[in-house]
Amino acid sequence: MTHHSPNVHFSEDELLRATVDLADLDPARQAHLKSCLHCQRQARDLTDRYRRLGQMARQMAPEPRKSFRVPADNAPLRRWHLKPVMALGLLGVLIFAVTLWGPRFTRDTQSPTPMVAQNNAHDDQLMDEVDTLVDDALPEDYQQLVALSDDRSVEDLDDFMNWMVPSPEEGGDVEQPATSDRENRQGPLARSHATVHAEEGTMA
Amino acid sequence: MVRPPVSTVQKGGHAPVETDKILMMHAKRAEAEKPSEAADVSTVGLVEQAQNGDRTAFHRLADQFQPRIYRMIFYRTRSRMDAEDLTQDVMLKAYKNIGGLKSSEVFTSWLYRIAMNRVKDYYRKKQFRSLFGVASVDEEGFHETAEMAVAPEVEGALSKKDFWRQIGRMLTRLTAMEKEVFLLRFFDQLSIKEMSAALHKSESSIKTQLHRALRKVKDRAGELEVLLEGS
Repeated sequence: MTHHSPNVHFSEDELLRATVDLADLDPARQAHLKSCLHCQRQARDLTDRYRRLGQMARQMAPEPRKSFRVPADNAPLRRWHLKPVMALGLLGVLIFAVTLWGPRFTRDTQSPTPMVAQNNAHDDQLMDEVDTLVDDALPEDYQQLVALSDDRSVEDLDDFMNWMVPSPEEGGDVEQPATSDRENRQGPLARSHATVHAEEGTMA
Repeated sequence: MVRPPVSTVQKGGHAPVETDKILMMHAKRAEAEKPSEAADVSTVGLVEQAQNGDRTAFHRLADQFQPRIYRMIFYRTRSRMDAEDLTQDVMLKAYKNIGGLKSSEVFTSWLYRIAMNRVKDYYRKKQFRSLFGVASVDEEGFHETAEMAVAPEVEGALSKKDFWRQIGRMLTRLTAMEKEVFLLRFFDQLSIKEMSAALHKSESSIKTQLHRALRKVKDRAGELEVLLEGS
């Protein structure tokens, strides 16, 4: 912005700026314009020139031939006029969306039931495995090692053990039968035991 | 606001005159010529009535604004027929959309904006047609219609034609925006505020453009003087 002395007349540029808007000049220059007849006349002449040009243009321009009247079938577009259109559009979009995404939604809603059933099946299978483990804790390979043959049972095993290792109380309870019978009945360990006792008695 | 006249003796060759009175007269005249929307209560009332669907109120608004819009379009198209058609379009569009106008006080700016957009469309279509040789766009945007030649004011037709040709020549060096603000300010008599609203530009931007336009026009002062002397 240029600063002029209060006594300096307006430059061409300032005159143009005064024509655009007097308020845009700085206060000192506005004060000068108020006091300087020369600058006032110049500013007024310039403004009048453009104003006269505008007036001439208006005189040179033709007038409209007919007045505007709104055609009978035209009504202003109100906001509420747009509402049914918007509602229809929204409905269309909804139908489209349902058509496009509906099957997927349906699949999604059905999916929980098979999932639960599948989980239940898994749970059942797990419980079966647990039961199997409870019944036979040893792995299958080891089970053959400890397994009894099909025609023998745990009771047979007990008899076998009794035969192998007879209980000491069994002999005192009943009357001694013939040696051969007892030996036969009591098994090899008992028989060898009896033989040792007999030899000791002979020596004594 | 009335201010007392300056009666003190001015220095430096400045006469002790009633300068304030002159300035106030100057300002009053400018204010009187300036179509201020805010001050025009009847326009605001009519706009509000028209917004409520009052067709008569809109017809009264049309009677008030149609000549101005018609001239505004004519300045830019220089064709009576096209100005007639475009003005009808502008008024019809204004009638249809007046319900959406947020403030009735900016009606003038809003109407001018519609008109400016319509003129832009007009030139766009014309340019498109010219590509296919259907229509021609001359340099000054001036095209004489057969209707002008047989108009009742046939004696003055030549001077009118010359006037518009010289105006076109004078504004040749201006950019589109400078030309627009020059025409809006001095031909259409819009205030800076109204121009700002109509063009969607800041007031300072409008002032800058107007200042540039005036400087360019001033460089062709000879043509301007010829025009003014002709009046």
